[in-house]
Amino acid sequence: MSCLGKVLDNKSYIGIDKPMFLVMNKFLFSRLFGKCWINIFLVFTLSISWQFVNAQDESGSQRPDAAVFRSPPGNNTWFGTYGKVRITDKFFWDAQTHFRTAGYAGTPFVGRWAQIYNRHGIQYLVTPNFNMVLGGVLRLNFSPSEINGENFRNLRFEPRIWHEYIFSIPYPRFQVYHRLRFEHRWSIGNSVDAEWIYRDRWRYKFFMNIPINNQKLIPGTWYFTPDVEIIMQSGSPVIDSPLEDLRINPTIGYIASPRVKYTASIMYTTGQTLSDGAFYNTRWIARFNIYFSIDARKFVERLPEVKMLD
Amino acid sequence: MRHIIRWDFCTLVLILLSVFQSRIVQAQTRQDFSGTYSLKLKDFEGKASYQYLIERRRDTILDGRFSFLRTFENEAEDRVVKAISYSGRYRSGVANGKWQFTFKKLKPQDTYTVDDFSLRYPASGREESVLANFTEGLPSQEWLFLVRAVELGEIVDTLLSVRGKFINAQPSGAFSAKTKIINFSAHYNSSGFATSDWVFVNTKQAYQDTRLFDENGYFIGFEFGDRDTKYSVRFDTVFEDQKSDTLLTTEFFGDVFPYFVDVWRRKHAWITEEVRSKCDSGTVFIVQSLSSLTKKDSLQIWDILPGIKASPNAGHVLLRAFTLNDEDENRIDEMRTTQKKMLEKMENYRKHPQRAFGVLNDEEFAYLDAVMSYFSNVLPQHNTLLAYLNNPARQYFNVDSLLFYVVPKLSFPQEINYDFNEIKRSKAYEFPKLKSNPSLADLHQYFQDFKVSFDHANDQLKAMLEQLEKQSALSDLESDLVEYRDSVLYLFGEENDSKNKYQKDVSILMLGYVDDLFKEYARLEIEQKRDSIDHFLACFKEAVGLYLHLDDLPRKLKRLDEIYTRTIWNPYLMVDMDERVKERVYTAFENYLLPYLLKQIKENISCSKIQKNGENIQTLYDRMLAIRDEDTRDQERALRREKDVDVILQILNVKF
Repeated sequence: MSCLGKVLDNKSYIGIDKPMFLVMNKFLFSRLFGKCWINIFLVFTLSISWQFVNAQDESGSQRPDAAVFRSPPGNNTWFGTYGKVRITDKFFWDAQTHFRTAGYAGTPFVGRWAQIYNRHGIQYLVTPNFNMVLGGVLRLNFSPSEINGENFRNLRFEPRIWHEYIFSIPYPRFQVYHRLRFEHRWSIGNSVDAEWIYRDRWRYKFFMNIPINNQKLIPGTWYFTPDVEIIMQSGSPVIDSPLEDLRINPTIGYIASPRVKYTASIMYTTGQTLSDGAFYNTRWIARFNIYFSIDARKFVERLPEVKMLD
Repeated sequence: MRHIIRWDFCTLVLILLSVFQSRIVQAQTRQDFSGTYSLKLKDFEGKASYQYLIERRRDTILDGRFSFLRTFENEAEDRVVKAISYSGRYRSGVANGKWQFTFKKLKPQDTYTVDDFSLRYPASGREESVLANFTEGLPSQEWLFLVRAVELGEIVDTLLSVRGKFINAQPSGAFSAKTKIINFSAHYNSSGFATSDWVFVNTKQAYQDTRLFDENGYFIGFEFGDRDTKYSVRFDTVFEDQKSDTLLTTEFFGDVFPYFVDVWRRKHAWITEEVRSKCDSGTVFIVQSLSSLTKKDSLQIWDILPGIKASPNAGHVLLRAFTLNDEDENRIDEMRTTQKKMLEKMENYRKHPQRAFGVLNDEEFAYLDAVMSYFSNVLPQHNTLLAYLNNPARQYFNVDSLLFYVVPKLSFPQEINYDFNEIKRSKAYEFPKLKSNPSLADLHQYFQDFKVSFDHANDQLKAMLEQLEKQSALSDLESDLVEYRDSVLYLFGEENDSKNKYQKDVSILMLGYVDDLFKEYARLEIEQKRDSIDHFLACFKEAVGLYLHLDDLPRKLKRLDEIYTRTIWNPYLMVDMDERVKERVYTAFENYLLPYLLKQIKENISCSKIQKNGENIQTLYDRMLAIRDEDTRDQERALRREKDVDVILQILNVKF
């Protein structure tokens, strides 16, 4: 058993499935960095968790006997646009926008506006199989005024700085991806008296693109994307809720052209609430995305290589 | 004193005797040799180790054990090593007892083991070995030939085994050969002649063929059977007073028996191509089995070894010899000479450049040309017939019986049908006749009659061709014209199966066009021909040119497809994808311009337009190559939903 396995046996209450970590172990690091990096990553992740577990023990607050899951789960819809604009051979402008709604007043999924979400960044293409992005996010959170009343804000801003690292591993019939995304965010509660809090998010996502009606991912291809993401958080406000979200998001996509693809999925998420780690929020989220890429380089740079045969 | 002298004399004699004795004993002591040694074949050198005696006359006599090894590498086959070895014993310079010849063809593996200071590479390949027996230098007792497969240094399978018995180098008794699917058994009488049934069984294909010999070694027939049926053919019986020849079995099966089968198949319907092919395979197997004890490829295994008085022979077969009398021999020679001359004349006639014009200009010529076509169909049948009569194996076949088998049924029409001025006509012609079941004399007479009839038609045509040549001073140019016409007819015709789809699309039109064009020329008066032959030649050349343009079209289209495609990296999927560059330009080319051009070619098959249309393909291709590197944003905008070819040509600045 690896050192990871031993740790998990002792700390199973952390709330992260062992198989999940083993998947991470196998697909992410062993191919890219070797076992040393696995250990560093896990020690880092577990140390954060351990810190919160200790904090929880010292708080002495009243706790339920078992974890409490929100039931029925919340329901939301996220409409997303993902744009990549190629600026040079190595740099892209990454522009993402989400329009998110939530079930409300008897209307499931689209009862009210929940958030508008803007994520932008500059992506650097290190190799065709590895790239990184650095940028900022501004999220607009809406709260229904009928519920909140006077002492609550109906609109809150949530700025973030984010950076991510994506590795792709090509196989003859499909692609495997590992995404590490880190966010440094400032948020504020609904209450007019609430103060800004700062947290860090640690996200790891594993996903694949598996063509269905073709041998390869080429235009005209329907594909299936198994997609799982774990989001951990840390920071002084995080006392006993390091697992912010676990997202399971099986997706069906269609590649319309080399520059446009569409996806649709139904995502299940669960994670500890910030105020009490014993309580787990749960959601079903319908997602519809369009992905497009634009080549903004000069005309001559886009021309195919001239072949000398003629 | 006398006593002393007597004693001294005796002592001297004894001393001398003892000296001689010791020299004799010393001369007969075996000595060992180990080193480079040549067998009785030029440059066949290897390493040998043997024992020998030195006789009084200082001759080296092989006596005792002997071994020889020669290895060589084949440059054509990487790392393949071949080795030939012999081992056995000599007695007083003559091979005696058990001997072994081995041929190995092995390829070493990459891995090896270390054994003291040697590296050992296990090898794979095959081994062929002959386990022999000699008595006083003559093959005797049991002999065995084995072919075995070797894998990683181990013998894993026996592929072929051949067994035979010999007495004084002559085969005697049973002889057999076996593979996994073939079982061959034969028998010799005590004089080394084939006797009884020689049975070849193929268990995989489930058939058996049997070659039959009587008790004296005469070949008397052949049988073939599979699961359901059995057929046989009997050979001429031999009487005591008739002359016979003795053949080695390998000669008989190698040269004579296939001829017999070939002759029989012409009347025996059961000898189908499949049966014949199986029979031939069996014959090859039998010959190889019979030779396997004495030959390795071209190497006579035992002839190159010292102390061998004879190699084992493959035994003998008896066949009745049918000697022809001088008259019949002369008949066959005459038929052969006549046939040769007729073939030469036919070739000269068919190649004559004026022939094509004569057929179109003169009815008598067209009629005689049709007659010559019949002759040209029959001449190859004569060739086949004469090949049977001239085969050396024919002497073992009764000629009358042979003619029954091999004379073809020749049927000539009473009237000749021919075309002239696009009208079908017919006219009588008296062809020679051949009796059914002819004798050699009948056949000879038929050849004489045929020659007369052939020469009659040929001489008339020759005279007319000479007349045509005199009339026309255009002979060389017309030769070119005919050559070009034939080229176009071949290129667009059925015979040429390498045509691409664009060439096939216009092939019928082009064939019709070329035919009409040639007829048009042939009907001209001499003066008109002189004035216009250059024009006609140019038209035929254009037709060849169009073929070449169309021949290159698939390559051009592939090239345009390549250069109007680029591979881009998709940032979301992180994979390379092909994308059409300047999509509207390429679509306009693919959907409108190319079909337009192909339609133009089909609709304008006439002199000068053919060339223009062929050149247009090149023009369009060149323009598409140029557009690829141009900034075409304006053109692409203008091409949106544009379907009119003229407008597209204008937008893309294509000038035909």
